[in-house]
Amino acid sequence: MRRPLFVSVAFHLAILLMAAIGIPLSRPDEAPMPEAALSVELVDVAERSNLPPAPSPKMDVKPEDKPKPPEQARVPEPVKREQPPPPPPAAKAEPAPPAKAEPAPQVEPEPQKAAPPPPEPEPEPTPAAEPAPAPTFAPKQKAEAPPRPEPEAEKTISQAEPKKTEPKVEPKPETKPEPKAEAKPKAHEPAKSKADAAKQKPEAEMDFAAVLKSLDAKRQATPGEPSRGETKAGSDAASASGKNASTSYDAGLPVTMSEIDMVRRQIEQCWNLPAGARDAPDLRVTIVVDMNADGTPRSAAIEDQGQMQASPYYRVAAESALRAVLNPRCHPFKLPRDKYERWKTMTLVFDPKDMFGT
Amino acid sequence: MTGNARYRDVASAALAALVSFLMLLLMAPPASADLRIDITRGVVEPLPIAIVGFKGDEAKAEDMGRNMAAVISADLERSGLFAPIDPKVFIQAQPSMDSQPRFGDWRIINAQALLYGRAKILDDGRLRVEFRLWDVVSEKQMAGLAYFTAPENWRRIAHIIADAVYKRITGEDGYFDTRIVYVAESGPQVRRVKRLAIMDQDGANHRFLTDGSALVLTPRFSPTLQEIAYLSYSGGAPSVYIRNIDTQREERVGDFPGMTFAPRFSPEGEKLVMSMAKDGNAEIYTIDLRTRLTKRLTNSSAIDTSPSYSPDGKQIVFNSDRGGSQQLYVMEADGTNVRRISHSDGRYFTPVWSPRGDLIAFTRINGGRFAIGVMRPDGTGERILTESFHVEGPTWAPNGRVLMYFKKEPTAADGSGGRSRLYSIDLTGYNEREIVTPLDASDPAWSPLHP
Repeated sequence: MRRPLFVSVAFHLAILLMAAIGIPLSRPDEAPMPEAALSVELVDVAERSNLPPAPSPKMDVKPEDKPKPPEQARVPEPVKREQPPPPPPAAKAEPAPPAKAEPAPQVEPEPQKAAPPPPEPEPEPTPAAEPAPAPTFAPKQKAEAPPRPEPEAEKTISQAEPKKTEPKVEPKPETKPEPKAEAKPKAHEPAKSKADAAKQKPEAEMDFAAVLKSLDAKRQATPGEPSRGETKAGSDAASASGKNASTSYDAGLPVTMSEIDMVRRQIEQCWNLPAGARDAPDLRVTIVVDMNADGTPRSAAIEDQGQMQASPYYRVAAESALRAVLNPRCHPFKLPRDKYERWKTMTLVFDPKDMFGT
Repeated sequence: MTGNARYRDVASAALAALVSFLMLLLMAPPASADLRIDITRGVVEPLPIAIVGFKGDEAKAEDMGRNMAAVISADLERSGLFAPIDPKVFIQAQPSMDSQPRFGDWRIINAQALLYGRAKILDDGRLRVEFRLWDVVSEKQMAGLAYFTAPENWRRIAHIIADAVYKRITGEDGYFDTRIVYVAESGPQVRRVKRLAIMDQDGANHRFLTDGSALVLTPRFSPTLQEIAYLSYSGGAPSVYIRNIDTQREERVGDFPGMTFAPRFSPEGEKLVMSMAKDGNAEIYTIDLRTRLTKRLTNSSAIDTSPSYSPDGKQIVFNSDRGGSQQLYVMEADGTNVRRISHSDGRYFTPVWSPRGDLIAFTRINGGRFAIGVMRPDGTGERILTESFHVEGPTWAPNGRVLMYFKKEPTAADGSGGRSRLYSIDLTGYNEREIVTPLDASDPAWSPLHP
């Protein structure tokens, strides 16, 4: 009677649920992806497996029109990379260690030297009543206390909101299609002048040479990359040499390790770690990104808003991660366009703990 | 009866469905449809920041605003963590304080942060300065504050704003609103005139505190007051003095039978710890500055000197040659539990405990060369930051990330050379910068953040 009906409804429900969540048995091939990603040696993977296979099949499938925007967008990248590595530590004019004056540590007083200094009763040198900064200055807290500016800002923001849409719309198209190429080169100029500036003040750059060293290794590994964006011929050759160039694409396939690796490297280039991260123990930041089909993020959100409020260190780290995702310098992400379904939503986990050994 | 059976059937069917569903769930790997990427490396490079000259409503305020932006820019640049962008490339000349900046204009020039503000002279003569700091990439305001002060203090306000920016973006406390006291040297090497001098951390507002008639050494800032302790020969015999920076009042500390030297304040500022030497044997003493009670902490036949408190006041690091050569030792603040922490071949001296407590900075001589380094309070993790013919006397910035010291060049046989200057260096051992002083300089001491 009705019994079979109920049974059948129940099983149908179960099947529908399974369909919604996915049949677990068919997925294990995807599982290793995130775990293995942790232990990948970046340089190696990038050099060998990463570059040729990912784009070349794509180009076979979709000739001409598709690769254009990424190509253009990529052009600046080599330039960026070309930024001179920090100059070698300025050879400090190292005086030949003269065997003579090894200056005595100052702690030990030097009575022998100035034994009889003319004792003088300390004439106060011009008590020119220097305006003592501390007293005259209105206490900081007091100045900060009136929450005047903060709300004002908020107010103005909300006021500006409607206005904002107007200018927003205007620059958007400007930056997108054509000026992108035009705007980007402009961006080099500062970069270049920055490099010049860096040359003038090598010490500034040297500051981070230690960390940059690791980057240098990466940079050296990247020269392969420009060649890829460079010419069609180059990529053709690459696809010809790539043994699996003929393999037809299955859009349903998970994003491969090397593809993920490429994006990871891209984002790493743009993740400027906050100095304070050095000392805070656990600053793992998770950011959920909604992606556009062209490989640019549509929106990105820091997952743990509670911690954002609680810890200034976390807030700083989270904001730096968010900047890494949103930084136009690293867009678009080099993801396989035909697997958009797979990376429509990405979860990026930023963890600086490996960066600071001590 | 049929009703009952029916319910049973329904229940069992539902149960079966549920159980099978749950089992499938359990067997399934975590169903993450999203792509997950772990980012474990990043770059550490100066953050590009655009600093727009603060807007003023009249000529005087306008000048002041422009100068403040220059001071802030210089502060941040010197830290090595920021790369101020040349204002020549700015597209939006003066963002309005009352609406959002045009972020696109700033992104194009590669700025990640944007700082601008407004200076206004109020009717009562005070200066009102407000600023806004924007995250250009995320299009959010990161900070916005207003300060009131006397117009002469514009420089301090600039340093305070630089501190606010530094703290908001790096997560660390800033150190720009600070001063340096040091020993200014002039005259020939054989007969140097040494004077106490004080200046802002960026070299501005330089002035001399003593006239050079008496030799002075090792000035140290009080953590709480506008006072410095130092060694002076003004009374004939070398002794420790305390001087108030504002009133210029100088006072000899304690009445010791021998010469006193190497003073340093306790973290609360209520005590002074120093060495007293008598008959060629120096021991470490504390003196309570209110009660003038003294207490002896060490007791050995060796020379114990250069004591420095840990920031919690519970321990003291000092230097002693009790083991044969000068090495660093740590003891409890009451003088018990002495243990050696430095173990290499060289000689160690002038230890200074970081305001953060995690490191001890020191000078080391090894094979005739000087070096400035840091180690953990237990003696592990020794790291040399800079090495030279003669570097000495490290002092910590209040945030414990930057050290200052002096560096001397060798003196040639004809008496030339011998230049001695102050330098700062990042804890990473990079970003060494000279602190410009009008004369030769030695023995720097960094003030705490202005109270």
